[in-house]
Amino acid sequence: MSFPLLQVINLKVELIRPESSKSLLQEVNFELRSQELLAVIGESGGGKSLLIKALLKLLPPHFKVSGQIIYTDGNEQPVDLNHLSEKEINVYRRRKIGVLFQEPLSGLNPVLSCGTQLRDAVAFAREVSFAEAHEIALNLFATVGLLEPAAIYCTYPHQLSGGMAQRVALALALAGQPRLLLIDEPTSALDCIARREFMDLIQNLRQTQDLTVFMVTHDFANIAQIAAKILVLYAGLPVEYGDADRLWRQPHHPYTHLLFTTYQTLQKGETVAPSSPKLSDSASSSNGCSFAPRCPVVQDHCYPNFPSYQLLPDGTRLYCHFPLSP
Amino acid sequence: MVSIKSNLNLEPEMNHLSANPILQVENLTLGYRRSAWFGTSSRQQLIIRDISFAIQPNETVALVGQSGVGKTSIANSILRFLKPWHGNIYFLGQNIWQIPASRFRLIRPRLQPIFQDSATALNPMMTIDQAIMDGMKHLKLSHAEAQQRLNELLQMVELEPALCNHYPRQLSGGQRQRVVIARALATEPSLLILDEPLSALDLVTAVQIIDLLRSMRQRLNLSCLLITHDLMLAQQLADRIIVLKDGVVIDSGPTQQILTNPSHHFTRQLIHAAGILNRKT
Amino acid sequence: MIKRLISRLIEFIVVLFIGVTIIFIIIHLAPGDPSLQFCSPTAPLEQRELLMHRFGLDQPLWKQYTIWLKNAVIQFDFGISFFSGKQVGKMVRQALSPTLLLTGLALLFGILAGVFLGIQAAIRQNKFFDRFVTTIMFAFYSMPSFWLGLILLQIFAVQLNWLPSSQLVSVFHEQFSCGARLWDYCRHLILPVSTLGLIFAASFYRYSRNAMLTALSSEYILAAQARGTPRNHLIYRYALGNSLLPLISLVGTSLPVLFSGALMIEVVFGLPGLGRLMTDAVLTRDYPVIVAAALLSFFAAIIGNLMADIIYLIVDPRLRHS
Repeated sequence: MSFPLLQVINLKVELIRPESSKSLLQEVNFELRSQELLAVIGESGGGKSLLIKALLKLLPPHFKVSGQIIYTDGNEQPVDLNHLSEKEINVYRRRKIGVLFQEPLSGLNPVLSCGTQLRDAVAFAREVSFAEAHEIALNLFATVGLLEPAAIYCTYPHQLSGGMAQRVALALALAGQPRLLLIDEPTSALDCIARREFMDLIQNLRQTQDLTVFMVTHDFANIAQIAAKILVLYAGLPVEYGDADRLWRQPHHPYTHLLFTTYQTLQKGETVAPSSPKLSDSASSSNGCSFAPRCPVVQDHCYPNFPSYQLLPDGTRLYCHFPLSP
Repeated sequence: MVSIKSNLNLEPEMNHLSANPILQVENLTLGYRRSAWFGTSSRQQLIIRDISFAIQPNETVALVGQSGVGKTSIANSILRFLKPWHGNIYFLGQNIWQIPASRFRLIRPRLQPIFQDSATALNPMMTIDQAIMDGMKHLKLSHAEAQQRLNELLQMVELEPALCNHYPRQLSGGQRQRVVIARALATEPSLLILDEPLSALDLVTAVQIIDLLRSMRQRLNLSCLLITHDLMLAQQLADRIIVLKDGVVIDSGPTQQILTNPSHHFTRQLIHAAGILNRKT
Repeated sequence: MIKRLISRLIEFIVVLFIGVTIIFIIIHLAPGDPSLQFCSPTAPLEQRELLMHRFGLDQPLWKQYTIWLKNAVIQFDFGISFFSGKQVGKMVRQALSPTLLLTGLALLFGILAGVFLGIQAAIRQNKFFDRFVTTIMFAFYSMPSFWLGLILLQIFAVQLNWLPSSQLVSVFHEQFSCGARLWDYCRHLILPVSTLGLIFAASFYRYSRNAMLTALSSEYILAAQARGTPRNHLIYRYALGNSLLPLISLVGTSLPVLFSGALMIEVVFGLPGLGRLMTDAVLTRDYPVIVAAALLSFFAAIIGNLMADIIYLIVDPRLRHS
């Protein structure tokens, strides 16, 4: 039985400076149903990693996060994570939501062995003794596909390869048996084969551990088949959000279209033609649609006016003046 | 495009080498030795065993393999950072591990690496134009010539001249990678060594850089050695692909042949993992 | 790891040997005829040669060197002082205990206070506490030690008359009971120890605050925070351990300060320590005493470094396993 596990409503992240404040993420709305996988795609610097930190209230105080992050766990009352105190949200971080950051190695404490870190995490999250936590930790290492749990237990992070560090970090994220796993670009540090293996592992875990996954990525090869929903972020705005299948077959937003056609051309091995108006990443327009300077179908109307929100009949949310028609 | 005249005092035989390969690697064997005090005991680790390949003028060869297979060690050896255990490396006809360092220094500017991480490849205290000018020091150009060349290079890599006096941290990843490419091109290289040049970039930026590299190669008659784990990138840029596994070459041949008709099952695995669609069907 | 330890020890011995040799050479290069210290320049040549013979200065250089190694380095026998005529070894040993007491206590106080305040300030970055303590500590950091000492003297010894102003013991110390003697020591040590301790604390404070801030902003702390790790565990097990590692070498390299750093303080507070012995020796060109002090300070430096390295090897797994 699928239910909305996480609902994000009008999330906005601003960087507050004494003189000015800058909006880094705005009007983020999405719903993550249990056991689904939501993929967030977009360019680097588009606010993808920021979103993950905002969801768990991990941003330093000079970031202002407004909006609602509603978490419902089956029969419990819905809770707005954004308005919890540090102490209250720690319970969720420990037992409900796991997170895997981009650089697996730097996410591990260099002076503690992998086992010790996992044992501590398990002991805190599940409130068990260290002896029990030790057993659970060994099982977790096996769960994430590490072949010799006992050996890994005594290993220090610097002795791990990239793929192994990734798995240890994943085991740490699973320490509290979370329902929801947030993953930030899990594969950018891995080679193609390791990527594929890692995604298979995530698929496997989703089934065996009843996990719901929120994944930031730009690895199209691996998300195309498994994501249920895709959220496309451009310059802090979710320009398109909808069913993965539909998005993949028929993107409405020119940016999504650009991304997917580029990827599909690459996949077919054809020579790619870069998007017509080149770069100018620096020259983002101060008002109007932020994609306008690079948009292949830009019109005069796009510049002064911020695109308004559209809800299409199939449930797609879109920010564009002139969406591509089917 | 104004042609760039070389002020390099290269020896005559090196200038008419057009028929010979730019780079030739013969029976290269690489490894690391870790020695303890006074060499009492040393651990040896073999990384690359007996690899041979050549890069012809205006050709791009891709070395493909999983991380940790020793691709970067090969690049380091060609750049004269890592001494091979056995084998020879000829660059522009010179056996680079046999010639004295002073002579290697003369041909070294002709050999330019571009690494994955553009953020650390640039000196944070140098502006963009300083970084690129630095690349053409050995050409001993006058100020006006250097300035003209700088403008040509910026135009070539499609960077706005306004960015000239910016510092690396003020640029995006794609822009920084363009600066790195411009700096490499400033030296009039014969061979570019591209070590995972795109893995830090997102798709749209990566495609722009692919396009840039492709047009550079044509305009400047460049040869490239591309080092990557991603067959999709190799497919876009390389004329020939060499697949490495466990320190040896397991598959090699023209790009089309490798992709449509791989002889080794590991190559098939790589193709599958990269998400490349099989064009035979 | 054992191999690294052994190679480190070998290095230690080599450095020790080189250092001892350099000190020997410097003494020989020092201008002037040592015999002139004992007789007038107008004394007959035979008398001077006799003196040279008595001091062993007519021996070949290598022999003098072996004597130096045997007497000075191994037995710590530096002969007699030019100035007081006492055994230098004995003088140094006598002066050593007040200095070690003073600097040891001050270093302990400095580390404890500096590190504790540094951590507290780092976890309250930019709050009032942080700004307040940082300002105060910066003041101590930039103050000359003797000046701080004089201020404390003025307040606590002269104005308030709570504590004695100089010497290590009172005049009638010998007649006191055991407990009263101890109390007497303490009362005399409070001012010099707190002066030196505050100066030490200021540098340890700056260091540990920065190290803690760096550790707190690292990725693995964020990752641990994202797992809901309790704040205390985060700070004291994760961040503290990592930020204190570099502190080991700071303490190691400041070991020679144990002997030389207290110089000003000893002079200001009139303590009969090594610092004062050294100042007096320099002023009177008492070479044997200077050499003894130099050698001592050199030993402290290399032993401090060696200890820091060994502790590193033991606590840092990245070194232990590579």
